[in-house]
Amino acid sequence: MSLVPQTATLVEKRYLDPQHSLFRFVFDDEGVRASFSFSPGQFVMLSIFGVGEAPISITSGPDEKGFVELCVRRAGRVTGALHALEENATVGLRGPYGNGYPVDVMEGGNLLIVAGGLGIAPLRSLIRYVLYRRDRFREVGIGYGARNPESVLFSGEMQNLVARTDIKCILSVDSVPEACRWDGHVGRVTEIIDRINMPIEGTSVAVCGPPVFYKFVLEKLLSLGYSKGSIYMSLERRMECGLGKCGHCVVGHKYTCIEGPIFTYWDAINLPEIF
Amino acid sequence: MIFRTLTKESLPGFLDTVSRSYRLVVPEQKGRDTYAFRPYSGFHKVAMGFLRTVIPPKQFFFPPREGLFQFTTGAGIETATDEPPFSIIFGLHPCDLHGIDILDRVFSYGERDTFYWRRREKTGFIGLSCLPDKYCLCKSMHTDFIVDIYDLFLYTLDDVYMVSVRTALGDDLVRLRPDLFREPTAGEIAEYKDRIEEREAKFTRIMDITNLADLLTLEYKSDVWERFSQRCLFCGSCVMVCPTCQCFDVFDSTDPLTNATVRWRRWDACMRKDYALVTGGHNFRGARPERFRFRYLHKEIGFAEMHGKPTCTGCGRCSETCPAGIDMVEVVRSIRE
Repeated sequence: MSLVPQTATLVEKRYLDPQHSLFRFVFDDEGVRASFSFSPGQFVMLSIFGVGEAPISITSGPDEKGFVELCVRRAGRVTGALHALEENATVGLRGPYGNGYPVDVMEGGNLLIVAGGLGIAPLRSLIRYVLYRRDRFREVGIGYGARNPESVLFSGEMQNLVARTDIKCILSVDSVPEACRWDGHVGRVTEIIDRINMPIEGTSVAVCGPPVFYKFVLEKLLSLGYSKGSIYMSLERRMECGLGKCGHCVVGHKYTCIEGPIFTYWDAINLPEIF
Repeated sequence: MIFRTLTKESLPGFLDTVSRSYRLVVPEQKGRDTYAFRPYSGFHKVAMGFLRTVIPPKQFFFPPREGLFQFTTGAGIETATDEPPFSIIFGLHPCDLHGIDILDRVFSYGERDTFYWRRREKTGFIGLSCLPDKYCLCKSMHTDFIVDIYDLFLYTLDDVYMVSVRTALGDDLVRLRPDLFREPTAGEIAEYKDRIEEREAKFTRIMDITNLADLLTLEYKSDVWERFSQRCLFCGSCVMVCPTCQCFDVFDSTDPLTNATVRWRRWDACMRKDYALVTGGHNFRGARPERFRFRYLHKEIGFAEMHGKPTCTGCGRCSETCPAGIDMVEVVRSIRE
């Protein structure tokens, strides 16, 4: 039934930093657990019963079966209640919703992934998709910017990506506090785009991060000559149904929940009220 | 589609019979000039001359507030299992039937909305012809006539109703009292034609919607939006009475005694200030002109791009209801100037 979630159990809560944790859920119904599938970039509606529902990007990879992981910042009512849950708590999940990244378009070409802060949440799903089928992509570059070394989410996993030779992954932080060890780049995330140095032709770019991050990264990508049609952004909106009906996520004339949340930069700038 | 005639004296007997087989809903007068759809309680209560109810028929498939499911720790998620009774709504004018057509499109786009369709699928419609008043804009919106959605449609002539029987359900209704229906005569057909012309002549107010989607796009930054939003109270009345506005808000309530949580949805309005507010405090449409403009843009452009036609049915409810006296015709005229 539309709008009615499936119950799921919080099986693992992994602390990432004071504001962010990774939550792993397992659907209670065996059939749902087996049949649940999604594409990178899609989202679920998460219910904390008695508190409400919120749209959250899926952070796990589509090939990891049997569970769903959500990387969530403690920010509002529902996410605050989620962070307060203990393991084995029951929540509701429904979805997946949204279009997801156009992986069929991206495969066969080069892929550049640029994440800022919590923007890594949906992009981690895309990265895992790529790692499972690395041979389907030509060059792969990943740039991830955070405020400081402590706020790099999934730092262990990201360091493993940096060590790989078949992926050019560079991490960047705005600043390094004293007594903090940091081997990555210090400075703007736009500078690591230069250092990754991906070809312009035949490259899809997936970008996700806070508004000011988008502003500088998009400017940089355009100055390098990337086509607006090859840059994919993930938009955030208020959502109450995920089904193109409740109306809240409409941007200009489009329902973000159905036609998005992934839009090309070209589609996005043609929507009024985009930022 | 076939045509039959029903004499005016026979209508009470027909509705009495229908009400014995179905849950019959009819227009009733409430206040001096206000009407509402109510369960049938005898023909003397039916307001045959009504033009528009305050609340449109959407309330029967998409109630103002509706429980979606209940959650308890012991039983998990439970949804309602009751079967709604089969209903017949009598007295729908073409604008309201067009409104139902638009809601049908919204609630079947992508994933079907089971809550809407469980009631909608078990409802039949008896349309009724009407003559326009000063708020009616159906002629301008091309919704003054309808060829689908209804099961029976009654066109009022002098002594009889010319009845269009469109569906098998309509035929089932006619066959409840076959003795009351007969073939139309040549004279009745001629009278029907005259009535079409008479009705045409009664439309006094026209809203010019030629290239309106283009004009709204070109005038996106017009000061018209600022001007009208100064007058608008953002009360959302226009949304509540609109036959096609279907935005909703989803929320939970928990019973403090049983600890059972109910997930609800209720009508919402895009005019509300926190409608597009997200966690973290960013509001994508916080300013008054933006919120005022959005409703027009969505009705005339956004919906049309998705579903193939604009959502205004010209029923006139918003103009009649607005406490600030904002009239859509005036807004559209200002955009055109």
